[in-house]
Amino acid sequence: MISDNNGGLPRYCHPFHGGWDVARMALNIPESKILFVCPASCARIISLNALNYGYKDRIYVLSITEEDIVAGDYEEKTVQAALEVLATEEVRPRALIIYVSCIDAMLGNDHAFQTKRIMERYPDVNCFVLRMCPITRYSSDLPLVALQYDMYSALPEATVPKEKIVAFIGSNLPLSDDNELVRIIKENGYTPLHIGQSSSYDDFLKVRASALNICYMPFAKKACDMLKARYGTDYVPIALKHDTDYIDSAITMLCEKLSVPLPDLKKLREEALKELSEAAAICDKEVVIDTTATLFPDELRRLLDTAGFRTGRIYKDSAGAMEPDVDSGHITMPGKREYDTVDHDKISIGLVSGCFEKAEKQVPLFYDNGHWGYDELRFIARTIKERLLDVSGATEGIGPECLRHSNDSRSKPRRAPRCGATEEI
Amino acid sequence: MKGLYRVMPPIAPDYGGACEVLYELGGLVLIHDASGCTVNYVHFDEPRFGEMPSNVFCSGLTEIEAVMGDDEIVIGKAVKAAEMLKPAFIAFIGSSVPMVVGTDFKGIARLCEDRTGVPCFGFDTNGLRYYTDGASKAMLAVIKRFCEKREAETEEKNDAINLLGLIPMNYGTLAETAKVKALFKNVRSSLGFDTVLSDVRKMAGASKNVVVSAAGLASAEYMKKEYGIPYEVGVPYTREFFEGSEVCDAFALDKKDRILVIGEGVDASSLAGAIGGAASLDMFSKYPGATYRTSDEAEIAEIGQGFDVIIADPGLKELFKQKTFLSRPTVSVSGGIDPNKKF
Repeated sequence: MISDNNGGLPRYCHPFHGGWDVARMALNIPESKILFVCPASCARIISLNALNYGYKDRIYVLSITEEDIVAGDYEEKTVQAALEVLATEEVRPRALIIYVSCIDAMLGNDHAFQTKRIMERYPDVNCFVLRMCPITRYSSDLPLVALQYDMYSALPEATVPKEKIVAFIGSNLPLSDDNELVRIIKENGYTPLHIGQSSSYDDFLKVRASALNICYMPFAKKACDMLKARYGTDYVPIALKHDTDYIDSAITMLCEKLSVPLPDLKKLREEALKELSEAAAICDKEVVIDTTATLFPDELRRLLDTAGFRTGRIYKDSAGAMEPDVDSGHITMPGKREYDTVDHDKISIGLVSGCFEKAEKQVPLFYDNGHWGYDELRFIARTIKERLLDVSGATEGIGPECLRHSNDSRSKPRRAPRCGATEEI
Repeated sequence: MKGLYRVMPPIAPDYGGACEVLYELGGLVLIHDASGCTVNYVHFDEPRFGEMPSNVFCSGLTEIEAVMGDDEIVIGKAVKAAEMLKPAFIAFIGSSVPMVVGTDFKGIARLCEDRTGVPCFGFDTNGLRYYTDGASKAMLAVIKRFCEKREAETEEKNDAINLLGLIPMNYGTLAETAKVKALFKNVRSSLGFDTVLSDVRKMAGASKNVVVSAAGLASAEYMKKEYGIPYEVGVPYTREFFEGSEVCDAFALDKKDRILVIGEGVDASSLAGAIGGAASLDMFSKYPGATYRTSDEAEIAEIGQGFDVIIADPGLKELFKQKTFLSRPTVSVSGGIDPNKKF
């Protein structure tokens, strides 16, 4: 791979990043709207994603011009635009998020002044600033770390009595009801809370009242630390990993924190591994993996190897920022990228690997997909089986399947590929 | 409020336009950004990315590199990649952060060329201007660098033409781009689409240039002055060209002067002329041949109030709820997405 993480080479950017951009993540806050204040180019991908996934009516863009930058008057324009948005909305949002981009980080605007003026006029609206700054991706203030931190920092500070709530921090999607974590929480009288599941801003406020937080992604740790400091809410780090010992220890940790009985872990593990082995038995293809599917690809590979799959190359990209596995030597892209052939001996878990390996089949797994633990393992087994048994598109000869899918497992194909040339990279 | 977008998606930026022009020419294209700008381009602005590989990469600019102004890093990456890829040229494409810190792209290109011996370009695109601007700069630079003057001096009179400004962003699909090209005969080069570097070298031997979008105007002027090649502006659209699309309905309407075509200036004006008596609005380039010129959402909505029928990208449809709206998708606005199809 031509990558910037090591070797001082340019970075290859794959077009598909899972359909979850920073705006869509922030819009998990119910009854919120976003005002992007940035060069039009920065807001383009956000707006088009919003069109694609049907939430364009929650996004506004104030396009910055060269004159604005030179004159330095876009701080005032931001306030005026926000006031105009709030004045003209038929149903006033409970939260107005002002989103800024890399350029703002370089110019150093006074956001506190802006949000104060807006909230003086509209005291019923929580106005705060989030940052879309990929330029910080190799700093200590990673974009996704900053996003989670800033989102939950925006909760109005108050002393709130604790309730029997367990909040998931850091995931884009709520976990499925089949999930062990959710089952444990519900069966023991607690309410699982994921802000994206609610249509009420009040549920966002309820995060302050949660008895326990689950830090679901490594990049949410800073937010969880802050919530602990402000509201005294303890948290357990439970990442979406595929190591069975880790899954057991995470479930055990949750049960201990909630002081509730432990489920039959052995049974859960055996059931999940049995399903994986069944999938492996019918899988006659080499499995390739990348970091669009999991932040911990080596763990997934070890699991699949154990279950009897034949695994191949791993493609890592931005995993370096996420405390990833680093034990694999298989981190380079192949020398050729071909769009006009299909490798019938490959099935990919993840889009980048599917694209580069020309995998005939692609398992639509994303690193944040609403599953966790043994539920996740069963989901993988089921999805691999479904993909192997689905013959549609496999014999069309028009290129790797990955190019027909966004890696948001809930989305549909956007455009079909055509035959092309071969590129040496 | 001017500059506030409620409905329209922001338009494809200048760095995307520059990359589009260079995409098929066999170079190494390096967008100097953190990754967001490059993803924007490969995801939404380049319909060829999933079909025809090209060496378009991101420099991986970091905050500290930008603050310290350390251009050596991006040059080093380009040099190392060039050793692997053996590109025909290297192009450094600017984005918004390099603009703020005042990156000297021409200087970077000069240093890199000295070091590699490979022709290098530096484009001070910044993501604040529109794609036609970036495409125009890239087109002109490539012609100045690679078009061989002797072709103009040695070649006998012929009917060959160059299409200037033919890039996929002007249209809804690659198939439509090819269809526009097919409207012309004996095309020697259509820099930006279906043209390789060897075609560019021979451009000066053509007898005429045809400008199909404002991105080609500066190159046409240059080639007129430098090689004495005359140029025409416009696309010879007909009703048949739009057969099967909503635009076709416009040709059957009675009051043609109540129709407004919104899009890229040359293209929209050509379509308005083909319909007969319709008005045109240029969203991108301030093309003087268009009836109106603005990219501001509120102004576009206001101008549209004076018309009964609007032809535009579906990303603008919500602006004209009370009007008859005929959809003409363009990559430069809705990026290949159908806004009416909700997932």
